[in-house]
Amino acid sequence: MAGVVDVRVYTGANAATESGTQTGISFLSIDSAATDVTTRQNNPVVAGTTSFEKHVRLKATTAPAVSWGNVKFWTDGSGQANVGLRAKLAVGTGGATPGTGDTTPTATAMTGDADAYSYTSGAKGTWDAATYSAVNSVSKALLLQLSPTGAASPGAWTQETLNYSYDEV
Amino acid sequence: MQEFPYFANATLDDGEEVVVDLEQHGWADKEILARTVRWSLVPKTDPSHVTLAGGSWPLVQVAIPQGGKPIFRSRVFVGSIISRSSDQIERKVIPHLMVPKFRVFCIGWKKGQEITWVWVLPNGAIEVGTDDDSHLAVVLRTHLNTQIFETPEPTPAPDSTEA
Repeated sequence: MAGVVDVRVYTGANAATESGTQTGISFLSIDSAATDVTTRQNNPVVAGTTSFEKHVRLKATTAPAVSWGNVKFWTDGSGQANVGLRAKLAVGTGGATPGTGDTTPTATAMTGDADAYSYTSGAKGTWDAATYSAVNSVSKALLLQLSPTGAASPGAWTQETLNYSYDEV
Repeated sequence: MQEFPYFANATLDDGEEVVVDLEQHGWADKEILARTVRWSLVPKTDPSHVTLAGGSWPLVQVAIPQGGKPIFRSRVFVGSIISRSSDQIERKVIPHLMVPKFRVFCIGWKKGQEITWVWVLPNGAIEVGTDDDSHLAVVLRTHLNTQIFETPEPTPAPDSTEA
């Protein structure tokens, strides 16, 4: 049977509280893995501030035959004017769920990060170069943070698609 | 995710043929791989295994040079939507969203620092090259757009205020 690898969001102290499988990500002014519209409307990111960091890892809920890993991350290279998206790759340590070495999500601007849009299909970011074999193993963390300037237009943010790939053997 | 559409076939140095189930734990037998002189991806006959183009997966075969080691990878490409609170997107996309995902396959050989990859793309095309897969992101984006923008809108509920 082929392996099954999905996306999880980690919240709470040391980002150690694991969400269920995610099919979307919402940037909020609270530390939450929720993606529903009510939560977004009640906890918007104010222009000129940064959202709470979103701590994301991949998790193998079904182990592959040999291993999985070599995780890459990229975007389409551009986003909405005055709305930055920041990324910090390969944070903490992968392995047994929920992983280790991560930090507690905050709404303080990240350090050691990069413009997420600088990672493109031709210049992918390395989310995690390691390989794993066990069921319920997780990758290192990818930290994302929305960063709208004070000049950002109010209202909904243009939808973005984040891409990732991983190898399975 | 659906099972692999391929199994592998290893032709050993004495002519013996070994069928390899690429989804079976521990398939990478070092002795067999060390003796492999021809390494093939053989499509399964299950009719549910079709490429994005709707066709059959091609058979791919590489000759392993002396001292080379056969390699196999499957690479999964995924696009994950970041939500926004637009009514249009909520109505059009989120209730119907299937995370765009596809898997490509690769066999080849490694000898020292030299690696040869033969990719089987989601549409069944074959490419010989390096580990550079930037072109596959285009396929993912096209696939994503097809899933989102060709998803029919739900039928609106009857307006109860109408007389």
